[in-house]
Amino acid sequence: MDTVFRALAIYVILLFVLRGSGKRSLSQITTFDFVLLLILGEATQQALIGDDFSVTTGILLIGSLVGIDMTLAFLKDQSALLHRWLEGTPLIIVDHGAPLTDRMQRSHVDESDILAAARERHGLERMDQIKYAVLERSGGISIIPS
Amino acid sequence: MPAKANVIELEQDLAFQKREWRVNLLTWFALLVMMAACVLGLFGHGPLSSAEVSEPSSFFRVEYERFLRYGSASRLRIHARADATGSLRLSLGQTMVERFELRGITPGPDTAEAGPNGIEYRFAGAPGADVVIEIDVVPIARGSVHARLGSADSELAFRQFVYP
Repeated sequence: MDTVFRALAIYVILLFVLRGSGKRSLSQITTFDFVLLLILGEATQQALIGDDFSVTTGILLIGSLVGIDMTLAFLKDQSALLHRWLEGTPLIIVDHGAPLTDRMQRSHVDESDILAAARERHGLERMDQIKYAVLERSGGISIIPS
Repeated sequence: MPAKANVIELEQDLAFQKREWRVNLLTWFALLVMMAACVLGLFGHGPLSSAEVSEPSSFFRVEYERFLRYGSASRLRIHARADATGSLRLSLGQTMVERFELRGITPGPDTAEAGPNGIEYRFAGAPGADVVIEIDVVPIARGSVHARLGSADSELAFRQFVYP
């Protein structure tokens, strides 16, 4: 009984904290984001299993977490609103070479992030070569060259 | 319905996005409040958590933590006075026995006796000496605990809360 509730509690808390902290928080853009993700994994593991190292607990936990995830996926399919709250929506942050600074600031994205994405994926050199930059649900930046 | 951007086919929804930014700010605020509460001891191990209960008429006093965490060790520090024969009795209420795992008692008791109302320990010391006894406990149940500790004829009751 305890195992399922632990899995549920941790899943819900992680969902709230990670979704609540914005798109960019854990998109693994910087080295530190990646390290933070590792630390979160470690802290979560302790709370999930406690001092019970049995295979049964491991199986129950995996089953519970995947079960919760599948249930949520089903609920997201049923409700567009829930889907939006849980997944977020994409956001245009550069429109025909013009950075939309208010949106960028509120999403914690700066021009160097956009130019880095443009360089990495399309070999672009300047902002005016970008038709659209979109901050995706995942927190990544996708670039459409002009 | 989400408004589609003019050229690029995108499920962009600015009204929703603004709500999301507000939620982000609220989350940030809530996390800062949580951190402050943690530092202050609202989740245990801090100034708000440290408490003491004592009997004005005797030398019997207990230092304890108001807030505990399930499975995480905590310490009770008991100040008491041995009687004229050098004997000191300390009893732990049944609730404490049921809801805590007793990890250790320092100094070790001479005898331990289980009864219907909990466990009674006897310690030997110098006659009339003030004694400090430390009990390490680990909560094995969540929620509010009405703890009772007795020594000689006095009894101290206090409440602790165990977070999940």
